[in-house]
Amino acid sequence: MKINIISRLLIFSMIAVGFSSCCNGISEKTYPDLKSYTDEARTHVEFISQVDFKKVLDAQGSFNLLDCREAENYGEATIPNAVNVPRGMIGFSEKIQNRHIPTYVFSDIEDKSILAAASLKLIKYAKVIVISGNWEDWKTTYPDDIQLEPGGGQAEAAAPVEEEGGCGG
Amino acid sequence: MINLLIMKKTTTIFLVIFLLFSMISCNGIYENGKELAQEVNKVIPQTSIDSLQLMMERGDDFLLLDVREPNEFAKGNIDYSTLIPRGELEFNILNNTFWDEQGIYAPLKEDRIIIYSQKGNRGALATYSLIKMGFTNVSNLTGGYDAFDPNHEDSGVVEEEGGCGG
Repeated sequence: MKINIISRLLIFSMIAVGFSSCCNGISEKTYPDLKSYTDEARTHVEFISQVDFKKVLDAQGSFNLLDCREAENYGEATIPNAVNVPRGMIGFSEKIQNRHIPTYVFSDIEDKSILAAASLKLIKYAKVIVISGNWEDWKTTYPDDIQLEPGGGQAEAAAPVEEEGGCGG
Repeated sequence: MINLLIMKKTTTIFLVIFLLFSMISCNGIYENGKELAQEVNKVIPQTSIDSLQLMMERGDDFLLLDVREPNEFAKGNIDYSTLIPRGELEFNILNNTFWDEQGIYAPLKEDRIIIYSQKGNRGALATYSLIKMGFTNVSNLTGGYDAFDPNHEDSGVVEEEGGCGG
């Protein structure tokens, strides 16, 4: 009976310690290369194919579309209604207010979208979905579904503005 | 028999409370990047402004990385720093083509690297990323560019004060 109690204690303790040590999104684990790093992140995010995202776009529902390329790239062209928050600015921008609706993420590199999505998940975004592939794939497949010069051709105008507090969403 | 039953129940209650407490104390979800960076800052090495200035005066061998956005870098930066926006960092840090364009060698994983951003928050996240990638001698400049040059022209970007993450 004692052994039974001790083994229960051990199992519960391991679960509790494991939970509390990994739930803050910060771990001491290191990776030998970028691929291993992004492969690990890949297992924690949800994906949608570009074909399926096109249907979402056409349905005109309620969602956020996040272009996490650099402002200069966004300033040239993007997917219609995409908001530009370069990956490095995620967490420091107020451009997206509603964190309760689905947020679709794309970039010039799929792995960058994955890392961006992983960051968004740490900061209370309810549902984050990576659009598979990258911007070039989209541009080639759906040339009619791109918005040219969303910032009026001025990269600076499309550049991120970090602001203080107040999230609302 | 009754004693054993009571003991068993007490143990179970204790374990459930312990588990619940662990879950409640979990701080895995942050309000914004600033909160996340504050947590990260607890586990990464820091370099003070004084230490950086001393290293610069001595001519120490180290790589200084600015992980802000290009528009911020253009408005002022620390001498001899290389710009790699944080979003590009993991993809360029070991990219020989990128370093060829900069005219310097790609850093080795054991090289001394100091990272700065505007206030030190994005720098913290960037430092953490490099540590995850196996860099062993990387640190964040405490307080970032604002602390290094408090009189600089306002970049127009109020960095790392929060926001909604998006």
